Amino acid sequence: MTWVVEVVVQLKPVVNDPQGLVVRDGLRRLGFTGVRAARIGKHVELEVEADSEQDARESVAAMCEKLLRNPVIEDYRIDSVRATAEGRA
Amino acid sequence: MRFGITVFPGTWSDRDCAHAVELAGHQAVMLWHKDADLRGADCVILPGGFAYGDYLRAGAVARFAPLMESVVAFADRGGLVWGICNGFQILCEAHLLPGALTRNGSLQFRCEPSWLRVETQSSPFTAGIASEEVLQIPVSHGEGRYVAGEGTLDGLERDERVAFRYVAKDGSPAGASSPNGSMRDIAGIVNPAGNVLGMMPHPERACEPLLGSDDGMRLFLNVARAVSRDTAFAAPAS
Amino acid sequence: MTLTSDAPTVPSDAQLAEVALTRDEFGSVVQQLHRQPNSVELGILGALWSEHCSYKTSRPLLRALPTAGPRVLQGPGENAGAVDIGDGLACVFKIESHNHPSAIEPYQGAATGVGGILRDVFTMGARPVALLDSLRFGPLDEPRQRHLFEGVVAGIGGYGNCVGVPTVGGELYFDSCYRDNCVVNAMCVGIVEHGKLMRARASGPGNAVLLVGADTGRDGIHGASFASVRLDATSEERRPAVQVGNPFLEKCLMEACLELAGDPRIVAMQDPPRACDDAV
Repeated sequence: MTWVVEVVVQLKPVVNDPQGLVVRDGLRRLGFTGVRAARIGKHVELEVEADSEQDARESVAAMCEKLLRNPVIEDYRIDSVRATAEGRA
Repeated sequence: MRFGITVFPGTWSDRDCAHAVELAGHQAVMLWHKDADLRGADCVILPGGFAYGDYLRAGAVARFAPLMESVVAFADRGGLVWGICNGFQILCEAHLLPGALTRNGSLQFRCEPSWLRVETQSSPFTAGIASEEVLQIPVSHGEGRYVAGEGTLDGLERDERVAFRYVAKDGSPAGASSPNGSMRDIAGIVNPAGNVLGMMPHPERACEPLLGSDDGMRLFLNVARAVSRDTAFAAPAS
Repeated sequence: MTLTSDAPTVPSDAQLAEVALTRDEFGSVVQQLHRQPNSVELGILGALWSEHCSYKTSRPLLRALPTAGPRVLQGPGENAGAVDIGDGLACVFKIESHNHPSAIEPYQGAATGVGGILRDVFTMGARPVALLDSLRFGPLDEPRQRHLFEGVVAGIGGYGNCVGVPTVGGELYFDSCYRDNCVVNAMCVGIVEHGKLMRARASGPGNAVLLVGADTGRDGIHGASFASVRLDATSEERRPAVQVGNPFLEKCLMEACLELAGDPRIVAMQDPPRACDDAV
């Protein structure tokens, strides 16, 4: 079956995010004065072959550990897993 | 002696490093990313550039190249490995060195001179360069801010593994003049055995007076001296 | 525009607009071919006769510049010019504009401008060693001009850095006359040994033609013809005609071309579409 898995890779909270600071300040200058913080991460969308949703999740988690995130400075979370139309049993 | 220079798709300081090696009177051979053969190199240089476009993260994909398996094994046997800029990023991704290089604090790509103070004598790369001396070596990067956990940083300081620190031109602490905002102004570090060096500045771009500084040449000469003098750093039998 | 194997018919105004040819230009095509062009030929001519590829508006001025001399190894007519600089070496260089794409999408427009000029130099077998740019914008205190300026500068830097060719100089002017049409000219300078200088003219029956490089996504189609179009409010909708650059792939392409330079099995190397033709 084919699954679409969405992963978010983010800088760990303790790591400084200068991009996020610039975005926050830019938003405030545009009039969005209520913005308290902004952190910039990466969104990765993967299409994977797996027998079950659990297998898909585990496979993607292994991909995150191996390549998609740098464990020194980044965390990750799997946001969603859904079967694609062709993949539905 | 022979320097092996790694070439990944997107590497572009390889020819500059070869030029510096030849200027120092030694032989340079190119090591192709798909090959496992280090071609008898006494020292492996991982030069600067944008290996794999720096896509995903700088060095993230390059570290899985077949060549890197040989480089890691060579380092584990005590071979001299020298990562410059993108090379430093690859060494961190490959876990030959701790920490990570992140986006410059200014968010700008900075191509400019930087001033470095040698912080350790425990490595053949820096042995003989007194710590009062300030070397002028250019930087050229957008992702050179060194970060690591406090425990890791304290360990590096305690074990004298900080090789270079950014300073102001007069040798005082870098402060706002740091090119990238690295933690503790760290510009380069070595592994515990001292045979693996990672540094963000480009010594090959300061290898002759025509380039504005030849302070970088001293590092190339130091490596050659280390290999010829100390058999512990000669090319280890594979 | 879809390709068709049907017998060619007189194109409608809309079809001509798609390839940015005037009715007069189309008439000239028919006259020279002695027949109607088919849709593929129409597309090719639209690109080759575009402002970007042929500089038809600037040509009368450009013809006033000197192009010959004892050290000129290659004048107009190829991907770039080449001048002997002694020691068996030649300097290969060219400057090209990318104004329209930069006006719509400043970062990618300027970035792909750099990409294009690099290709013109390394398809001659020369290793690019320097980039320069000549830029013109409207007054910088206007938000739109600031947006263009920042995007263009970032695009030039971002692409050049990744490919590994330094941007060493250029010029920059601001004037209200450039408010609606910024000028983004990119120049590349390269070095080659005389014996490795490659040309684009190929001859010989039965030779293989290889098309190499990045796959063109739907971004970039009709990109060259786009240069001939007057910019107006609807130009924003043509954003997909601006190519998205891939500097990493171009670096790989550059090294591959440089490795081929001087190889006797290579008859010619070309960076399509070609700019000028000698017939004009």
